[in-house]
Amino acid sequence: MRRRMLSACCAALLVLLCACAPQKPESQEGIDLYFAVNDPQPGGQAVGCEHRTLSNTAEPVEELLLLLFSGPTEESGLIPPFPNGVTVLSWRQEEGRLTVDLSEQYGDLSGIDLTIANSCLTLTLCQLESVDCVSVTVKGNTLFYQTTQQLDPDGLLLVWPEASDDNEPLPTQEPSETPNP
Amino acid sequence: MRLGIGEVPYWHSLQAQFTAAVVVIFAAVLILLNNYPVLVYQDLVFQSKRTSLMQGQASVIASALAGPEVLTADGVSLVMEKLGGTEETRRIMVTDPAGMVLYDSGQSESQPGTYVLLSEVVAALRGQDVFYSAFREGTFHSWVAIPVVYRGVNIGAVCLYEYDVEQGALLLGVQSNLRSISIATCIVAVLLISFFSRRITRRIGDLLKAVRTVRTGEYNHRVPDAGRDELALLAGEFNELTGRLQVTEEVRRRFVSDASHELKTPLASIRLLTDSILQNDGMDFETAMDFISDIGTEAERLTRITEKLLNLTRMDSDEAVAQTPVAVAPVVERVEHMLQSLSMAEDITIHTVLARDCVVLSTEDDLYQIIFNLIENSIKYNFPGGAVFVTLTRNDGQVRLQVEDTGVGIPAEDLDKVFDRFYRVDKARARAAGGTGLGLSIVRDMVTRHGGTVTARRREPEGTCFEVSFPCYQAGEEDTP
Repeated sequence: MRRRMLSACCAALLVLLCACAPQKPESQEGIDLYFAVNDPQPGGQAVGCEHRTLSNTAEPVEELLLLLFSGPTEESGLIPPFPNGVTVLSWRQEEGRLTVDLSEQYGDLSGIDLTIANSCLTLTLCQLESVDCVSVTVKGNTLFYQTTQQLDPDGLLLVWPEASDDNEPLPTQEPSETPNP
Repeated sequence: MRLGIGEVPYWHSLQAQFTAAVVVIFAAVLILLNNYPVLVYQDLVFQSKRTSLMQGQASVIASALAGPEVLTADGVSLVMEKLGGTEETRRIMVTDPAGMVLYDSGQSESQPGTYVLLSEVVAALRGQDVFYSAFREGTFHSWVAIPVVYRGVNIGAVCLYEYDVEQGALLLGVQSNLRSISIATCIVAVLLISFFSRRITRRIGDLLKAVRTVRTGEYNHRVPDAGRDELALLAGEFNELTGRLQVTEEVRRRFVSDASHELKTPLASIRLLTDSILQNDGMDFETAMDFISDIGTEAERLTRITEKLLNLTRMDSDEAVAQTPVAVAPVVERVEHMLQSLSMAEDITIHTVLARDCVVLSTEDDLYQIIFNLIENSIKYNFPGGAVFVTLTRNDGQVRLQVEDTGVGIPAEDLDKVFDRFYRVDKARARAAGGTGLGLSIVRDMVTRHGGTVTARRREPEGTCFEVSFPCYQAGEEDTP
């Protein structure tokens, strides 16, 4: 009897440990789609996400791009960061790098608006296990005024660092709200 | 806990309600006192940070950077070196128009190409000045972002973050002190409130017990009315009320007892006389007629008593009567005329001196009854050959009617009691005279009802003097309530 109870406890512990283990959410629980925040509040971020469930797990990149360019739902309070009429011309993946070729309307973006649009693509697509970084081209060409041609979530600062009591060095990034790549 | 009949559960009691109300008010005040100074202090610190960071350091850096058309990492580092070192509690970041970090004082090994997606930075890159401050975990955190503008073109943004542990510790200390003081005050207040509420409600409880005791018929019960507060006044009023109840109850008992006795006496006479007639078969006609005549006399007496009792009851019911101006002299003359046969039979002379301008607000019937009872009394309790003096005068706004006789008089110790119901100075004489013991009671009640007074005093050298005073009638007075 005692041995049976011990086995049950071990099994429960194992299940609990499995549940706590970090894992990419792409296939089972869906994915976060990142868009621009309509009215950013002080202390907040310029981008936000809404949770969606993928239906086509065989071609997740295709579906993610489709969902991203379809725009956010009304109740999310988010707005699409992309100009009207932008379409995905093609995409290709070389190892961990995903290159997305977009139509010419994307070239209308510059400055912080371009950064926000690129960040939304990067943060969304890098949730896929096979994607480490994202590169964006317009009609096959890179945007010459874009300083960084290849973005990954580590290169995005989403949260202001705050001081700890023991005055440790200030962290560059608090990735609590960004998905692990 | 089982409660006795009429007991109030503690949570419904006045003490509980009073304590709860005061505690809630006190707690609200304490919460306000604990939070308001803290909020004000926070606001002051926020304002101070806003001024020092936004209008101070961030503006200086932005001005210093607004030289070249394009910001570069090396150029920004050079400017920042010239401006001097950055405090440990501050972090300064400078970005290009795309939000890419060019300089970060907090991270020497900043990855090139890191983009800042914070709302403050984005707002600054869109041309706005942003300040945001918060007090979290004992530290003041402040964020500032302002654009770097060169010739009207936004060439980047300066972002500044500062944390202030010292001010935070100061605020926490104030909060802690306020909390300690509040807790201590709360404990003392709860004890004091409990004590005072218990003290107040105990007195109310005593009053409640007293009411219940009096309700059972113990009219001599009294509550302590020491003190000068409302409860003491209430206790005093309660004692006064109970005292009056006690007097009323005693009067009622005596009245019932007297009335029973007065009614029993003629009834017993009637019973005795009828028994005598019935048991004496050979009673002669004249004796029988005498007995029957006596029965009639007793029956008349019973009728008189009953009528007067009804009269008194009517006055006790305090029904409103329509008062009219009544000239007193004609009423006296009518009474004198009505009692002429009685006075002649008793050999009493009635002398009247009547002022003609005496008008009072009353009813003619009541006034007639008052004067009739007084003069009839003076005739009945007089000596044969005696006199009755009736004087009507008007003086100082008062109408005074004096009825004096030369009769047996009333002892000084009985003068106050002659107006009590069924009170007689000489019972045997009164019955013989046909008195009921209610005539003067009726006089007093009627006079009082019409706002007058009646007194009795010894007349020198003999007899008694009754004096009735009424306020003199002023024209239009009957219209006033």
